[in-house]
Amino acid sequence: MEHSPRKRRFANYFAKRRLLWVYRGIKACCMYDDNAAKYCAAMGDCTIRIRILPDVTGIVIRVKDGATQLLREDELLVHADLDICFKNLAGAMPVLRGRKSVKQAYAEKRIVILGDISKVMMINNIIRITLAYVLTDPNARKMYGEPGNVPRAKIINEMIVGDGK
Amino acid sequence: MRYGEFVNKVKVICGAGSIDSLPHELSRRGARSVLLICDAAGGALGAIKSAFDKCDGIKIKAAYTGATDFADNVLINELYDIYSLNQCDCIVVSGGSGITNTAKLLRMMLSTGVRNIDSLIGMDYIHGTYSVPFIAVPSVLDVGVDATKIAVYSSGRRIIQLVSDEATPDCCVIDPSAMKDVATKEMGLSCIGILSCAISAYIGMQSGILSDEFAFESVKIIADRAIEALDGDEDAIGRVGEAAVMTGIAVSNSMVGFAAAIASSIASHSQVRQSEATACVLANCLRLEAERLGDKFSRLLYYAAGGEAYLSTDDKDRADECCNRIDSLICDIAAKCGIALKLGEIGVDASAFPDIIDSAEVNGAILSCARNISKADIADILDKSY
Repeated sequence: MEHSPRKRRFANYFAKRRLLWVYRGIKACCMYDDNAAKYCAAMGDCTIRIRILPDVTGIVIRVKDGATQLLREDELLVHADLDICFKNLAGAMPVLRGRKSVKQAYAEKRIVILGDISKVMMINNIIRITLAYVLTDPNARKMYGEPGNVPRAKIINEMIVGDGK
Repeated sequence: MRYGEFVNKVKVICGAGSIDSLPHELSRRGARSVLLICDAAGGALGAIKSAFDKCDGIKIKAAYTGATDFADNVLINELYDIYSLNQCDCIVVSGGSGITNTAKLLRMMLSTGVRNIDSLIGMDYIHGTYSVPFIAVPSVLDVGVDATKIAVYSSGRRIIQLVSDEATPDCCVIDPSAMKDVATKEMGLSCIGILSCAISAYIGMQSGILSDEFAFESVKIIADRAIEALDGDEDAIGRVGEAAVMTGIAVSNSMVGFAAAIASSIASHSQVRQSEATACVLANCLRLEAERLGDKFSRLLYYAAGGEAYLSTDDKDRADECCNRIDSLICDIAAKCGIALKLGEIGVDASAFPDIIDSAEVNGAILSCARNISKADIADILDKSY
């Protein structure tokens, strides 16, 4: 599907906001959910970039001592320990909107990875836990299963009022 | 129509005397100076050298002969130096998975121009800049590792997996005469490994129509010809070699399943071979998958047991019957070759189970399973296989 430059800019902006929203969910879950915290700790100290090609819309997350930190644009590294790239917006948006799981996107080869593939499993588990909390529709229930033991309101509250950094 | 991708860049040459086509295949790719990498156990070394001796234009400039069970970055760097020093311009490899993985990684380094293999870790990210002709001549039937785009190596204590089109050879030569010296037990383990990967490639989430056809044919060949191959029938050995390559192509476009993930974790924690661990856990893994993927296993019955068995079984029983038939095939192969089918018998200690479960849970192969595999599932498989 052809997009005008203006539409493409808007689509990139929307994708970036969505990525940041997912990051807020990841941060909240890593703070309160035991399973997510365990996976986060198991990743060790590393830097993860999640981006959407070809316009390089993305976020960079630093994981240190089991806590996550969003790096600012001017701190973006040329090389991250793990670089997860969606090949295009059409592949990324269904995942970010919760219509399709990361596993499905991986199965359809919508993703290329630079870095240790075993860390992708951990990130996939964290995203799965996050979206299980955040998304409430039946389709999401089917894909992501039931959320953990932390009250959903706590996670959502942290996503809204937390500093998101 | 579901979105999917399929790629098969490997030219496959099979049949008696196919090794003689090596010089032609290299010359049409502009190669002149060969780096020959060979497993010490390889039966093809003599035939390959003889093929090049008959040819004037292309010569073996350097040869490395050494056994290795697992690729590691020390050996890869050593081969890089040999390649550069002798000004070679192509690679021919003959041997098992260890030496073939080493050659694949060497080719990736040469085609991308990087010196440190660790910088290429990833999946489908690497794109080559330089053309380096690369031909594989399998001398063991090792799950089509020669035709897959997956390469595995060890760096220190870590096992690292790379997935890239640059890892596939340009050509894969299957000559039964190169495989006739393989021990019966090794061949039996290979047959079970091919079966495991072919079924996993079919039932995985990444499977598509094209990769499914390769997987089906592989399963059919193993079901029909594996026992004959173990008896030494050269034609059957060739067919199983073809099944290995087809499985490799299917796996390249799909993925190995969680049987391979569990077997890989067992191998890294218990000092047993992955192929032996696969033989122990495969049947139980398939039964777990069949609970959710009954339709797929129903269809698989046709290839695993034949049309008659398929038609004579009720639709609702086909998945179970398929699992039974595959289990029975594995038992027949194991009985013929003296392969143990219990983890305790191959030397796995139950105290290692927690580490195995933790490691298997984050193995990339599990990402392609339709079912969300939990620690409880993995623990259940290990208990049943012990």
